Amino acid sequence: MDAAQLLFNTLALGSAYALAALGFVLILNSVGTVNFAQGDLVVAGGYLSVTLLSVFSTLDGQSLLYTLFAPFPGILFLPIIMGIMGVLGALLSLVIYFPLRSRPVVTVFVSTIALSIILRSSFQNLFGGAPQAGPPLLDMDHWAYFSEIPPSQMDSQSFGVILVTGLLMTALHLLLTKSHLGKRLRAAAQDPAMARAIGIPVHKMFLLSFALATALAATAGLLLSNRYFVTPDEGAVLMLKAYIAVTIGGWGHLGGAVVGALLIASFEIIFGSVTSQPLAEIALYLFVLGLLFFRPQGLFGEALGRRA
Amino acid sequence: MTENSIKDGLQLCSLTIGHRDHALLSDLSFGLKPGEIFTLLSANGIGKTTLLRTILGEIPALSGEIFWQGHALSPLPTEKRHKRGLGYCPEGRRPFAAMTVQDNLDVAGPPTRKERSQKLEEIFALFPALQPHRRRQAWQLSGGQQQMLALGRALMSSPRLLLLDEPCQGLAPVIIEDLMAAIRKIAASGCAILLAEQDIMRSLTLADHICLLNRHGVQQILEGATCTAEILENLIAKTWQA
Repeated sequence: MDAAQLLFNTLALGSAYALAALGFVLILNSVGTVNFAQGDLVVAGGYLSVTLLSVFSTLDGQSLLYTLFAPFPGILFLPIIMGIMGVLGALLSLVIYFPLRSRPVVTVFVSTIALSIILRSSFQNLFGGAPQAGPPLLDMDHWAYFSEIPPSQMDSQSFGVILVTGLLMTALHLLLTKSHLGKRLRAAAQDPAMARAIGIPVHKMFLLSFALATALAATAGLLLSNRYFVTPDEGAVLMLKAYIAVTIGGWGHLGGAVVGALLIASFEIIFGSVTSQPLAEIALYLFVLGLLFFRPQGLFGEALGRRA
Repeated sequence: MTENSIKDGLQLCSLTIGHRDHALLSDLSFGLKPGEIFTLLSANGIGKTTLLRTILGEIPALSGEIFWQGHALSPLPTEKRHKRGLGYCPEGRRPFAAMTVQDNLDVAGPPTRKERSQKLEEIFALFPALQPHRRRQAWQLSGGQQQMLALGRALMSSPRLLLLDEPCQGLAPVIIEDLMAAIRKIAASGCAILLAEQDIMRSLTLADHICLLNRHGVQQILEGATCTAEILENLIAKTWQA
């Protein structure tokens, strides 16, 4: 693979990790808890896209919906998956977070771990252990309608992933910094008691954070599902990746989480291509250890106390 | 409600406050009219902050009732009380540190963009010192600027009752002058202000009524206009002898 291709693939994989990590940070910042089920929610998004694909492929090949979306099934599924998983995320928070919110933080840690185990076993039972492929964002077999020379399958997948992630991140950034709702979300995250005193319904904001985080995780699942396949136990690894991305970037820093995710992907793909996958993993964790030694607050984290 | 209770302001009726079963202040009964500055004066640790937070709904009252504009507040959570016109400027200011000055104000504003930008300009007119810093993050401000920001944030929703917890604590005299002038302007606009204060002189310059609190509850309520530092000091000395 040439250098441009490597870079492209790194960006694509990093993008998917970044979405998972962003969801992780959203929950971390708003309710102050690590969501250990974040990786399994990514996998849930993957399985949902696999299911949607099997439904989609039973459609009549002549129908309007099929003709319209056959060139990019993943794009059609994206809003459906974000919607379903967003609602599911809000509902899950009613079980794993809200009844326990006055308990010590560790209690919520444990309840997210429990959710993670339940999800993993359910995947195993519902879908079996065999890897399954999700829909491509852009299905090149159908692009003959649009152009004489279809772009190469490899590049176009990465392109689709980068494009979708770029759009979602821009939307999230605008939501959090420009919209009144986004500012209310951030205020509720920073000081819930003060936020209530200025009239912000903090519980609704937390519910929304869970919905957003789960929708982002599920999107990552959709983006990964075609090239990397979906397996029931994938969640543990993805959770670790999100956790490390957030640690590298700075605990609770949204932009930092994205940079962290890209760094992890570059270790896996660029470093992995010149050495081997296990060596790349070792190098990644050595890098994280080194970083924590010299900059324990992460790349963009603030040293404790500066905000006070 | 008592016979001479206030229909359009705040009325406490035999209110007992504290944490769980430990009462801090018992049998508080007094009222506040619109546009009035009412100061709670006591030493530290008596329960002024707890009283403000009880009125706000962060802490449940142990017994008694709080009436606001003739309605009992106890069934309402904090955010609903805010909607009814309560504003809160806490001790220690508590700005949203990682947000800009403008966002700190904007987030507390009314639902429509137009109303918000109008309120925003009103706040910057009241505190011109904040204007040049509107794009800076709140943690970068000085203590005085943060206090103005916290006060401005409370005003964004045009409250009818402002709960103001030691706004002048630890600030430079020049800034205290500005803040006191702003507090008078807020009251002049018809907002009732319940002010927790430790300083006798500041209480005297601002307040229409001064409520002297001791360990048991209300010791005495004095008219601000006829009260002097000497009277207050004598009363406070009596508390310590008792």
